Amino acid sequence: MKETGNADDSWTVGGHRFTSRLLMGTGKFRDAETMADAIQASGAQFVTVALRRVGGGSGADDLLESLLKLRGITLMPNTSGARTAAEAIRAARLGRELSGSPFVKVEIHPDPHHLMPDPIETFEAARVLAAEGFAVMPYMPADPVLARRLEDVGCASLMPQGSAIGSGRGLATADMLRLIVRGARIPVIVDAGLRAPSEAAAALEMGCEAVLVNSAVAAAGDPAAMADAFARAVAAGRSAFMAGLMPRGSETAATSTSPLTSFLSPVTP
Amino acid sequence: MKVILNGEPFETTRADSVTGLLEETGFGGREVAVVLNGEMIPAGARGAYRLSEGDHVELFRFVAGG
Amino acid sequence: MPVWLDLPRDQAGGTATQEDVERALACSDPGARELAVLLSPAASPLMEAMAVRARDLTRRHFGRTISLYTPLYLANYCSNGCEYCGFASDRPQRRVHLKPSEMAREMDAITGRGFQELLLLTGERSEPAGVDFLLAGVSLAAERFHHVGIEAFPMTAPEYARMAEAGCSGVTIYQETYDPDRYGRLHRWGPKKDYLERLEAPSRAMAAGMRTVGLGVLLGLSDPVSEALRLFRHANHLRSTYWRSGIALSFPRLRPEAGGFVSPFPVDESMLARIIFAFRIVMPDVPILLSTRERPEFRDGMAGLGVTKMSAGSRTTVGGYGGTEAVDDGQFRISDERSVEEFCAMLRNRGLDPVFKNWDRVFMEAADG
Ligand code: SF4
Repeated sequence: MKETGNADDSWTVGGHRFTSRLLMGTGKFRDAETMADAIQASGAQFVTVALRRVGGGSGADDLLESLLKLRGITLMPNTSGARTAAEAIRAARLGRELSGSPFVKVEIHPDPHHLMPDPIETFEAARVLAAEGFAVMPYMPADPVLARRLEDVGCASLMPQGSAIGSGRGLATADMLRLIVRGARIPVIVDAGLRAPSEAAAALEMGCEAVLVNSAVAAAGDPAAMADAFARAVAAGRSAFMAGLMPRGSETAATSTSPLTSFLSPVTP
Repeated sequence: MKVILNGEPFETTRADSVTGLLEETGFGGREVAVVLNGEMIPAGARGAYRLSEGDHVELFRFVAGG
Repeated sequence: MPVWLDLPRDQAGGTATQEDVERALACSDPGARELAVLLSPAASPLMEAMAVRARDLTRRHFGRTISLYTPLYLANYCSNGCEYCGFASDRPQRRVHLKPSEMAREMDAITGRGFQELLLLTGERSEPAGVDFLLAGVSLAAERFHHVGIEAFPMTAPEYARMAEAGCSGVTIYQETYDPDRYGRLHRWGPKKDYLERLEAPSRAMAAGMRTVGLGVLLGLSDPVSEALRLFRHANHLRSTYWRSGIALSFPRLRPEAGGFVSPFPVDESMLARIIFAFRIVMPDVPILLSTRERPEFRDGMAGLGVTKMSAGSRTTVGGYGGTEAVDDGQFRISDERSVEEFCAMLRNRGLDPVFKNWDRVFMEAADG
């Protein structure tokens, strides 16, 4: 059970406090301007960036500048491109050098076709990086036991998949996510698979602390308008969670014909 | 002097330090992380690192990504 | 008192209506709030619905099985002054302990009745019955039983680790009452007077790698509803911290004992049943135990309605299973004196399968070699 009782309903991860519960990825946007507009519309305070070797030309390398123009943004470097724990650890250290922030989104996907996270390498990288003082936010399969293990080695949050990355299948892992949320004492942030704002709302309704979206906004007809829609869905989902949902229809409407409790004696010992 | 910059051979004309190389390649004052022969060089320490023939230098920066 | 034991005001349940109870019964992910509602006066007309829900959940998570265990008291020395206990140091009991050869004979008599799970009990640690004494008992039991648990005095983490190494896989330690003031008054003297020391014992057992830890309150000592709510918080706290260990719950009611202590908060069967139903509903996957303290008709009725684990053919005297003659009066009086065979026949009659074997030991051996 998590205690959430701030007057402003903020949440904390890695010692930083955030009021927005929508995290944004910065990939797949048409151009830097579209991205900046969408991030602004989303109200996100926490965005992911990737790390690459400097190319020959210097075409689209002004990403950071357009991001830094938006105020109040915390950068979370990811380790995309890493296929092993060692590569991710190296990328994380470089990312910290560049961002000056302790956050790292550990993502390790060795299979280039489906970008599914490697649980074993992810665990290993998380263990090493957490010990080095990083605020580790692992992108992970929605596996409740892996979640416990990652929490045990000191991760700052958990970022389980809603569904396969890029699939737009929403919360296909809902049952597992519920188990993760129930067991976790650190924030659970659904990452990957979301397509519609209603799915983001559903994640917050079940008690996830936040969601991270990228493709759903970047590939929308109007990214800034979609970012705004996600922001409002996330807020609605959170309010619903705080309000306490009405339970589903009774599973036990029928009562048995012969009473189960007739054996009880009214006498106290 | 010849170094390997991001995997490609690169002939420096005047630079013999990491800082000098960054200036020569147009990355002076820009946000990049420098890796010299596999070791990350913190921004504050770059001036102190001399380059030698055949050194491997890698420059990293942030790009868009999910 | 630690914060995780605090009861939030809005969870008092005192103002719950029948509608709240129906909602709690239908809730797909019930928690502390639902527990409070199910234990409120508003729930008492809905006992039958609670029983049905408890039975369905029990079946879903445990099937139609009841696991069986038996207690064995190894000693009855005690320096504590628990007002409600027949082994308290001011009670005129004959104080005895079993010698290793007697333990072995008792255990053989118990395995002879089919049991594979044994719970070893002692009072407070004493010169003749301390850690080493208990370790000897655990080792002897581990050679004969698949699951060996202990219900003794609180220990340090290294002591629990030694117990685990000797083959103990469960620790039972009831807080008796979670009300610190009442706790202080009821535990008149002895090491058990230290409320926090006892409260932290389950964490130490779990940290030492114990597979299951049994928690419980002794019903009758304090207001049963607040006790239940605190027990729930304690269990949740442990579950989230030590996720590799399991929890089991038990709700013993005060029984008449040698000193004639009178319960200040008598709990009737229907309240006891309600507490068990409510815990089954909010913790559907946790084993709930019921001992021979209760009368046969109650035990028969509760088997499978939340309760998943029961003792049978028990003695609360030191020894007494046939290996040695019992010489003391026992810790408390037993209500269900049926034999194991009779008890199993009753379970089968009700469509339940008595299960003697716990597979822990097999897995542990596999892990070793
Ligand atoms: S309850 Fe336990 S500690 Fe208390 S007097 Fe009885 S045997 Fe001793």
